[in-house]
Amino acid sequence: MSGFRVNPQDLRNASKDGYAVAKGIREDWGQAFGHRPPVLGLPHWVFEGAAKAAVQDLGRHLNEITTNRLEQAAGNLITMALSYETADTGAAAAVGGAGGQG
Amino acid sequence: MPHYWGMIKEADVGTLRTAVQVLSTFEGRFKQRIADWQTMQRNLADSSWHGQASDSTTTALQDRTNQLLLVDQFIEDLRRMLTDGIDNILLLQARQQRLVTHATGNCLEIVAADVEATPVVRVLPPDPHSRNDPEWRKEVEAARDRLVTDVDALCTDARAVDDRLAQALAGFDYIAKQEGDYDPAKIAEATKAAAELDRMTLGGPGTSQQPDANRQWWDSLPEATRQQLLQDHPGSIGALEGLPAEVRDRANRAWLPQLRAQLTEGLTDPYHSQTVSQVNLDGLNALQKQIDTPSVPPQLLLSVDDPRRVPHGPGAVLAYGNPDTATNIAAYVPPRPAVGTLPTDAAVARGLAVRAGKADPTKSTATIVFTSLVPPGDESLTPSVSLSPLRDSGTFSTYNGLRVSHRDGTATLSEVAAAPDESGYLVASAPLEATKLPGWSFTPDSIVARTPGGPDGPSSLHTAADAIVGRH
Repeated sequence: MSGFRVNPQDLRNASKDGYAVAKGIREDWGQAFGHRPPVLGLPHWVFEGAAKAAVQDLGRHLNEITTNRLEQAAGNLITMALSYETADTGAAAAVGGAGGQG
Repeated sequence: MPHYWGMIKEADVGTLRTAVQVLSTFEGRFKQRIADWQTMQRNLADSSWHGQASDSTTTALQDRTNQLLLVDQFIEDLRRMLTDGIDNILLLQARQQRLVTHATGNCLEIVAADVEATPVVRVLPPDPHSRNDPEWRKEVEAARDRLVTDVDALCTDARAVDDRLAQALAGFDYIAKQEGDYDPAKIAEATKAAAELDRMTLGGPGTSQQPDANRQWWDSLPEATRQQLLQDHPGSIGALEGLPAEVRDRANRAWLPQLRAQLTEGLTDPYHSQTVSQVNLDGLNALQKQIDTPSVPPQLLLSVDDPRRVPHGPGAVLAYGNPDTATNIAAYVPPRPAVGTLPTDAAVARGLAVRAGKADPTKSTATIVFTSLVPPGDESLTPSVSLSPLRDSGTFSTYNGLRVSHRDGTATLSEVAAAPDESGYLVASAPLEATKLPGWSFTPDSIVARTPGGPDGPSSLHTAADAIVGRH
């Protein structure tokens, strides 16, 4: 029985779902433009260069947001789950120890 | 260095369109990913975990959600800009084609050796009959000079479009920080630029105040371009007076759900700064319900105001029957239009169309009705005097637009509106053609009937319908 008002499994589940979102975004982008540079087909138009750059920019920043924001949050949730579990185990051991002594 | 004349000619927007479709598919999936993230957030919030660590985590996860919403806006803005690129090129190509056709019809030819060559307008060899006619020579040379000017204007506009798009797209460079944070202020700038480009895409050829120019422009476009514009800019197309009623109906029916979605988003998204209210959304929802109601004669949505764009209370114009093919067009002006009276006002207009059809089955009658989408009390949409109702907020331009969209302009236009003393209703009639005169309006001389009560009463309906079909 946990000594905290949390079930670490809830945090693990949230972490798993969070990682899945980040992975999904990467895969979606990979299917869209990730495996090849965007081809817009109007080479003489000035805006084509800017458009290509914007698409590439979007891809780069999607990578950053999935790594630095989403996966980081999902990782923190796992860390918290672990710390609760560790604390719980420690508390259980302490309780067990106390019981053994009694 | 390529010349814009050759670039317009050679531009194949197919690849760009494919790229936009790919981006659009990704956009849909990204929205689903945001929903998944929010579900995860909700599940954690609903779990048994609470306390300080839980609160901090909730804040941190919400911060991620907000970042994802900003990226979503980035994607939407980029898609809109690229779509505008496609539409602008299609419009430039349509203009170019018109110039080429015009040249051919005037013994002229526009020649450019390759994509880099400056186009030259040449006079084609005259037929034997015109060979020695100095007048012919003079006329064709004047036509050539005008065409040279038009070709230059097209290329100048193409350059402006290109530069404007390039500049707007370049704005995306700085909207994200390296670590993946998105800056709301920079996103807002990009969104503004995208909206401005959208507005300018159709801003050149015509505005809602120039129905003749609008119609001429629409008629000049290839069918594929029209379909593309209907898909990409339904709100702008639906607002153009002078376009066929069925086209406007199709555009406005496509636009209304999008407009409602945008307003809904505006009410819930923390980064949307639009000034919209639940009242606006309620009005549009009521309109959606009305146009989804099956009707005989068919119900057309001729116009709908975007609450974010009009200085007065938003309204809509509905038609019963197609005014473009009708011999008699009657406008019903409700005495106190409001969102709550929308179904009743629409029913009165429909009833007038049905009754007029029975009064004279040999001629077709269509009615229109000016409705309001706001609660009662908006004076700008409450006509106080008959025969000059809603004049400044669109009635006149609506009539003028119907004149232009009508198949031959020979219909009779009637207006059914409350008498100034509110003793009943007046019916005024005039040839539809008369609306083209500057400053035209119904006058007391044009009153053809008076009814004892509102046109929803049986005897009044009978009198009004008879007057609409010309039986006084």
